[in-house]
Amino acid sequence: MIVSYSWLQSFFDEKLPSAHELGDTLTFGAFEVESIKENGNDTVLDIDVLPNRAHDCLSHRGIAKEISSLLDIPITNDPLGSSTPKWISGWNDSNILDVTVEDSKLCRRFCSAVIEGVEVGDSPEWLVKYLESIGQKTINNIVDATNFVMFNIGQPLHAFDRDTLQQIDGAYNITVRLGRDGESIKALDGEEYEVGKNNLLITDGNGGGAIGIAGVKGGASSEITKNTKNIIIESANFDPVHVRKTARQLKLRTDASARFENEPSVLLPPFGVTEVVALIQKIAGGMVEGYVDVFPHKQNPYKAGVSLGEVNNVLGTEISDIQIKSILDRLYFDYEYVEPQKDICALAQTFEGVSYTFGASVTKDAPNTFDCSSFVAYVFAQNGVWLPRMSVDQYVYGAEIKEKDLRAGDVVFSVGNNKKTTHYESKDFIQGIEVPEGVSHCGIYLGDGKVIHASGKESRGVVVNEELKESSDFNTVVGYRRFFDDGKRYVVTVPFERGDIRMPIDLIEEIGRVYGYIHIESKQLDDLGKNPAVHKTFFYAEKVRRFLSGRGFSEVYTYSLVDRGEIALLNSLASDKDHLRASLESGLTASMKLNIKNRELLGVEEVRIFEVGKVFGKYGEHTSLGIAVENLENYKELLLELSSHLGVELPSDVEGNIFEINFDEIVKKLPPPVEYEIDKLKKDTVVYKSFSLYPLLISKFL
Amino acid sequence: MNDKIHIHPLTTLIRDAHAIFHDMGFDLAEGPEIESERYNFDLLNVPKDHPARDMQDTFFVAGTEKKVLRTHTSPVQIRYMETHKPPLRVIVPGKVFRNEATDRTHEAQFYQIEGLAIDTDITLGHLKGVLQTFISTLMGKEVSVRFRPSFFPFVEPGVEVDVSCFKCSNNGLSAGCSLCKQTGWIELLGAGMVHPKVLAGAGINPKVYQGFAFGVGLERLGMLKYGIDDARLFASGDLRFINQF
Repeated sequence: MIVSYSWLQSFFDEKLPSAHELGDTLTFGAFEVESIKENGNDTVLDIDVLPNRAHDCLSHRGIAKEISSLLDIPITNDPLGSSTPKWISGWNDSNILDVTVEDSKLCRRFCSAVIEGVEVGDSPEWLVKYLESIGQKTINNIVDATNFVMFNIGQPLHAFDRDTLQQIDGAYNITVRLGRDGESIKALDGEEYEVGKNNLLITDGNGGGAIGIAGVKGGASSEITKNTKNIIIESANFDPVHVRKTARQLKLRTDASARFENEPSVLLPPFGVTEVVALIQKIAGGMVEGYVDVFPHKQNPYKAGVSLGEVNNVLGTEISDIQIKSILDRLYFDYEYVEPQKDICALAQTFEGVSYTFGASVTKDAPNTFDCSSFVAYVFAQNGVWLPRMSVDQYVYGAEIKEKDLRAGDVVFSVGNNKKTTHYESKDFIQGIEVPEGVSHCGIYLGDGKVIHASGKESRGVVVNEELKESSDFNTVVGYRRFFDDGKRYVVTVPFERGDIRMPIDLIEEIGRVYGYIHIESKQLDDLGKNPAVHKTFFYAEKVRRFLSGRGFSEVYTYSLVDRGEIALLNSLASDKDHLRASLESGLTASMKLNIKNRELLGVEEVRIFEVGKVFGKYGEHTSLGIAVENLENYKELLLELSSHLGVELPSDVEGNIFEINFDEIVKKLPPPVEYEIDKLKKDTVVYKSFSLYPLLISKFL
Repeated sequence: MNDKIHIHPLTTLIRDAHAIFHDMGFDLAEGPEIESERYNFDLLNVPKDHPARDMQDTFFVAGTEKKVLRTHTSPVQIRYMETHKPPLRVIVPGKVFRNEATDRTHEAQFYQIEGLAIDTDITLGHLKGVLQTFISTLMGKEVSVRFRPSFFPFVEPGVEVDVSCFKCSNNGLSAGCSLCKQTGWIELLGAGMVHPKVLAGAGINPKVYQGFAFGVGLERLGMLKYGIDDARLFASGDLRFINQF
């Protein structure tokens, strides 16, 4: 991501350190800065934002926030600073635009605004400069405004010319739907794209035609031109996998698709609309007619928690509570410092009487309705304790507790008669771990014999607080589990744009990098008190290597990718490398040929080489040993010697100058080795001297 | 020249690495070069259709079942964890493949060594210490190690590991030279703490166990150690190269 230094400065009142200092700050605290270049009056940094942060940091604001946290310089102009964007208060629902989203899984949110009476023209100088400094072309003030906001806050946007859409009874409709067989769209790049039922489209609901490929590119038919007067803004959120697949299928990776495929927050689109409308009104005029927001699946804020002990136990540090609090503040994380045992029990009791829904989601349905395990997971998550979602997985994850040690805040698991809701192995957490006793229900122990749980029994169907011994849901208790240690936890309400922070380890990473990895002290591992096991194939391969190199053989490593074989590759860069070798023969033959030519230069009487490597057949793969010589006379003797050295009979009736054998088969016949032969490392290092690839030509002139 | 014993530099690097890690209690493991997507990606927390898959250009193998040429030695981490109980320590040397154009520093096939250590109390500090011992012993020169934040889906925190320049730095002071591009540091490898999802996927409870993993390219180590200027020489089968060692 190309980032402009002066653009970054616009987020801060305080003067930032130089671009090179920022480069170091980011490289050691966040992302690698690949280059820093002067560009006119500006300096641009090329920052390598990796997939874990591409959802929020492919934007100047994301990078500015990182700088702010790492340098402890406050951001003074944060477009995402308020928890809800300003638009809600000032604008009305649109009277003339309706948006239909056919599949809310593929289009998670669609925000829109209608602006009437804009004047399309050139962008002001500051905007042109910003865009040009990061290598973007200026097009016109409307399109430039949408691009600016995308590079500013990371929300891709699009502007349609409203009057190119069909009007029915004074109203417009945008429909987000999948394409149809045979459908095509001419995009803004002038190319015609064939789209179908695997591609989500933005369409003119009245006219029927496509006006954009969702999340990828706008259509040419509704392009903003110098005659455009009225516009419709799109600020949406699409399924990341769907956008990724469409962009790949159409070979059309755009700045928009690169952002959507990394799953930016569904709470970002309203900020996109607010920002772009404000900018357009400033540079192109116009009045907001109204807005639309289609957002059927609201989401709870995520909570993530961690304890001081967990942080230090992973990082190997001695960070203090004071330091953690300061780091969390620098990261702009709202947090509470809770005592999970007390707070879990207290919170759980506030949900008494809340309804039961089987399969209720922790992030969307809670706390309005629960099932037994979503109730436990939600209550724990609110107190910074991460749990797997399903009761059987919670049972596998937690530390086992005996009945006599049971205390408030532990979780009680039971099994019922209903086979359908009983699980006998871990599902999503540690797949394959068996739970023969079965788990079907769980609840939080409150102390004094009380349990609180979301009961799915038809007669109840709510969260109930009752005596554990008398509860019909806990007739057959299978065990008790504990999920947190004593002591307090930091519970962070994750900023909405940070899709990467869900589990304790995510917070530990944040704390670690702001604290500075440079402060982590090296430690040696403790002695395990036992010798490592001896690897049989490696042991015998080493034995063969030592034997052969002692007899004047040089070991070669040749290519596994060759022009023919039994196993083909589906995608290869070269037709002479589109198969996996079925034997070592072609590599050894080529090597012999090359080296025989250079025999004199090498100063050897005979070229002798060998290779140990994997070869591939329809049956699978195995390790092969190949030996090649020039003179066949000593060959038989050598193989006899190797046979007795290894203690296994090798076939010696070979023809030709290459001997090759399935080494795995040989190893099978050999006894398990007891101890490695380990050499001391050599003190002096060879210094390689490069050689000419054309020795014969050169040697003529020497 | 004839009676001298020649050892291929890759063999020497694997042998030396093995000797160093053997001393620190590490087993050695190997694994298949044709891998399932499950082991090469899914179980390493690289979901299907996720942008993280683009980080490694992958060769796909023709056949009924969808298989790949392993893009790293990390799948062997999973195979080892599935068959061994913690505490565990293992290194995995082996050949890996990337569908990339080749040049002096890139090859479609190359060697890696993977390292993994899992116990109840292994920290990022241990990773630093182990890598410092490994690189210093291997290169025959005491080096410092520094971490920079990075991202590999199978670890968290993920770090990029730099070591002080073998050529120009001394006791933490660096003169700057062409090898380290005047920075005093050489970017060497990727590492981190094994992601809880990876542990769980391999049957190890992340609430109890934790540990580190790292992966280093052997050709790169060899180029730095011996001053080799072209990665393609390692698989050239050319004795003008091999017989220098």
